[in-house]
Amino acid sequence: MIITTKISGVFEQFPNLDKVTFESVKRWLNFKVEDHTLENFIANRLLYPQTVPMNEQEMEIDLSILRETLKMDNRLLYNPFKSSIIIPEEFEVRFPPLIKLISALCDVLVLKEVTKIYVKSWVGTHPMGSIVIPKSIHPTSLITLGGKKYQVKPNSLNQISVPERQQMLQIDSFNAGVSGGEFGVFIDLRPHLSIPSHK
Amino acid sequence: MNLQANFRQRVKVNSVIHIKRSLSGQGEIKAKVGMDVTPADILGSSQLSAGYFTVNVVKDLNTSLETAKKCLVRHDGERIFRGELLAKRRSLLGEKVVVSPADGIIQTYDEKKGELLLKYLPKNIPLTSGVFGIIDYVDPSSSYVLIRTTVTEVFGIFGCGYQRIGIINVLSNAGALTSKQQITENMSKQILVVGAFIYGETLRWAAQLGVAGIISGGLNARDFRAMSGSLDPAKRVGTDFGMSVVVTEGFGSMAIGEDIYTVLKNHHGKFGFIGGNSNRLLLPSSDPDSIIALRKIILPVNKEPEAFAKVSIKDVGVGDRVRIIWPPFAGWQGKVVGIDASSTRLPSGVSTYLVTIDTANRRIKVPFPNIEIVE
Repeated sequence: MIITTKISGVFEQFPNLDKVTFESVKRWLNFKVEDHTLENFIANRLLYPQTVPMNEQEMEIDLSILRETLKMDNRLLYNPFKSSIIIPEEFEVRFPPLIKLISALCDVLVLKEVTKIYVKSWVGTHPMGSIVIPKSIHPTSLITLGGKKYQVKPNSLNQISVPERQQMLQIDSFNAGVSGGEFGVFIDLRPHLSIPSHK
Repeated sequence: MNLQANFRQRVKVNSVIHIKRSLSGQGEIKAKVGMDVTPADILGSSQLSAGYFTVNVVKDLNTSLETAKKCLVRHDGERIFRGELLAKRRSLLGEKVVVSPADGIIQTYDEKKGELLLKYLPKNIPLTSGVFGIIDYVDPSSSYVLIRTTVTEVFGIFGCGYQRIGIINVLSNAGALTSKQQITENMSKQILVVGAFIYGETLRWAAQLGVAGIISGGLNARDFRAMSGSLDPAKRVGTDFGMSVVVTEGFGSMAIGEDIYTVLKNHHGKFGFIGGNSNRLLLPSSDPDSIIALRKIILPVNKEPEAFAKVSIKDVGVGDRVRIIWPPFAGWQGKVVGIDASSTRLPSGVSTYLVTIDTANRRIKVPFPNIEIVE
């Protein structure tokens, strides 16, 4: 039995947090921050993992720390054998909006073309939607999902509201069956393996 | 709705504990179990050898290698004291002499370099009690004792370094940054309270001067990693770089909390113990009568009497004294005067409950996960 003697936070679940370097976090940020400020921010996450970010910039840093910890060890959220992402409920609450969290996960997890998303809470694990990363397609702004046509933004992560049942998705020459749910379907049309450089 | 936060013990007044006093080298402890001791009492002593030093006779006498050897007046194995003659040479212009710069024993003379190698004389280091207390345990190998005593315990957030003793010197106010120029040679063996922040360069300077310890509100993560090897409290092993450091708030510049700063200020000029690896300061009672109360208390003998700050979970309530642990008010302390009934969406997007806190400066609202209860 585990006895909790203190309140912890999402970052306490990553044993490699102390190995995250400020240089690697900085590469994801599109605003300027002093090296020592960023280094102290990451170190304070180790001391006070339960705290919440106050502004957008702090949230961006937190998402970047999350990316870097997942790069080192993705087992907490990703099951490559079942091609599924299992998001603990506290992550959903801690990293809003959902699309930014999904975007961060897509940035660093080596996902297959279709990945199912589940949310794990104290009542159980529930399917919530899918992430689709179509490989080898031409840039497009039109997709077909369940027989309906949708406009999407090329080079972006798109969220489409889809009910829970299985739907057929067609993008250019790509065809797959995807599961909907509360989150819907995320279609990642961004060119991958392109970590933004510091501006 | 009950909101919960961590409760962190930061100051524990009139705590009866065991203090471990260890010899710094090979020696003997004369104190016996059951003895009453006062701060100035000597418990034992040890011999400390500080290494070797060289004297270049050829250079100092301004002569040749052959002549230098003939000028030596002391020989291998001889004990010599600071200022005593080592070699002399007479010339037409007068007499040149070489004296020993320190107490030592002559080891060898290197004829190829014209250098004398001397070993520093072992120093007798007395071990003082430092506290009013009662001896409860003397290690059979005579290297340490445990003294039952009354102290005020101050717990930091992190630190590094072995336990050291020194006079507490409050150099700056709680929110100040201490510069290298403020730390001078006469602060050797003292425990310096440096305010909100100290740079790595100043820390190294303090260690060079022989400062026993540093208490700071904050520190740069880079400097701490260099000292301790890891930032993760769970992965840190006891390290030491010749000085102990205790940080009371976190990484970066953060004013020392009012609760701790007030205690340190009241202890300015008195003896204290700093243990960086246990993030703890022990400020012994200066009341000789404290021994009377100690006689009525029995403590189990624990040979490693290091204790870390205790953290537990408590419901946040109006009237609780709290410290803020995240910017923009990190390090501030105050009293909870209100708890919101509904959640608020912060500019970061996170929805959470806010608590209203009366601080010494002003009334502020802070998300409840960003506070810790301290009282």
